[in-house]
Amino acid sequence: MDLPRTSPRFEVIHGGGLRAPAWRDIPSTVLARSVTSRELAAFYRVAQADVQKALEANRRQPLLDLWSSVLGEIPPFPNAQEKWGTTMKVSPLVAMADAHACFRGLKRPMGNDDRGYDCYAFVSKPTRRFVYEPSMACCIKLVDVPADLVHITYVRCDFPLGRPPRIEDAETAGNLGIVTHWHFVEADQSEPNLPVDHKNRYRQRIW
Amino acid sequence: MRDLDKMVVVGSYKPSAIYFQESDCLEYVRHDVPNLYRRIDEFLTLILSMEDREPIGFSLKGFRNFYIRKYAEKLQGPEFRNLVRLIEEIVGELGDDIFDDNKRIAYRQAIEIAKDDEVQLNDLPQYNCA
Repeated sequence: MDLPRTSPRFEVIHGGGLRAPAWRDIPSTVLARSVTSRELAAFYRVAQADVQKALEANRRQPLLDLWSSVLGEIPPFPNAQEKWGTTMKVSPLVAMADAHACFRGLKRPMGNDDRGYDCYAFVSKPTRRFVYEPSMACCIKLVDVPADLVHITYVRCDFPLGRPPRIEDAETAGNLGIVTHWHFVEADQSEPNLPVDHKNRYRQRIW
Repeated sequence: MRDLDKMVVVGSYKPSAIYFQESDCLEYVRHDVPNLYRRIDEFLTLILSMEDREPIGFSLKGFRNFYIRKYAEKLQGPEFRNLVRLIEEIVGELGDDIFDDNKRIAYRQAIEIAKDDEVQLNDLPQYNCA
């Protein structure tokens, strides 16, 4: 007896077989200094959804700043490594891990936190950043950052009062918080390595 | 040769107000260029172009907090989708503080950007009612 044969339907999914370009592959964590001590290291998650949202509107600068000023890496655009790799070996990019100051408390509402008390600001001083400027050689360009700017990376801690003992004792402590946002701000005139008005804009300096 | 060196940018930036959940900020920038952020107060930060230090946008901080407390109900009126109305509401919250010269100028600059570009509030924070 012949059974009715159904031929399977094939559908083309446009773009379904393509991998996202490497520069859009947002890193999930960043290694930096601990919020409690400059001598300790800690992993922080990166707010990937927010960067993705910016990218959906074709706003690329936040991701470029993440690569260059938070992670301290050349954004993995085609040809970028070939073009700047040698230079960066001699004078690397300044990353979040190179932060020289850390403040606690943003003094503004942040989600459920009315005063942003559990947020920390890592201050670093990059001298160069990447911008999106396509040319025949590469899609990005390296530009100098003016000397009167500093970079701030904000972190919201998962356990602002310290980890519970059960987690503290574990072999793998995991990450401590999430990098929520990052940007350049003007430097203080009297202390050019710190943000302008830093005594009023943050609650306290940790290190 | 310089003209050949420039390529047509595919997928250029479409200015729109974006709400960033983790930083709890509603941001609008006119151009996706290298920038810097100038804090005005706990609610407003102006976004300036790194090159000429001219305002190109603004960030409304603690937006989820303000939205839940004050603004969610009003959004049923379409006029409240206009970002100018939102900034005016924040100015109302500030009270006497707005009479500081620098703040007044900064808020006026933010309102002018929102007004000139007719920025609409479409990206809203998500929250659960208890």
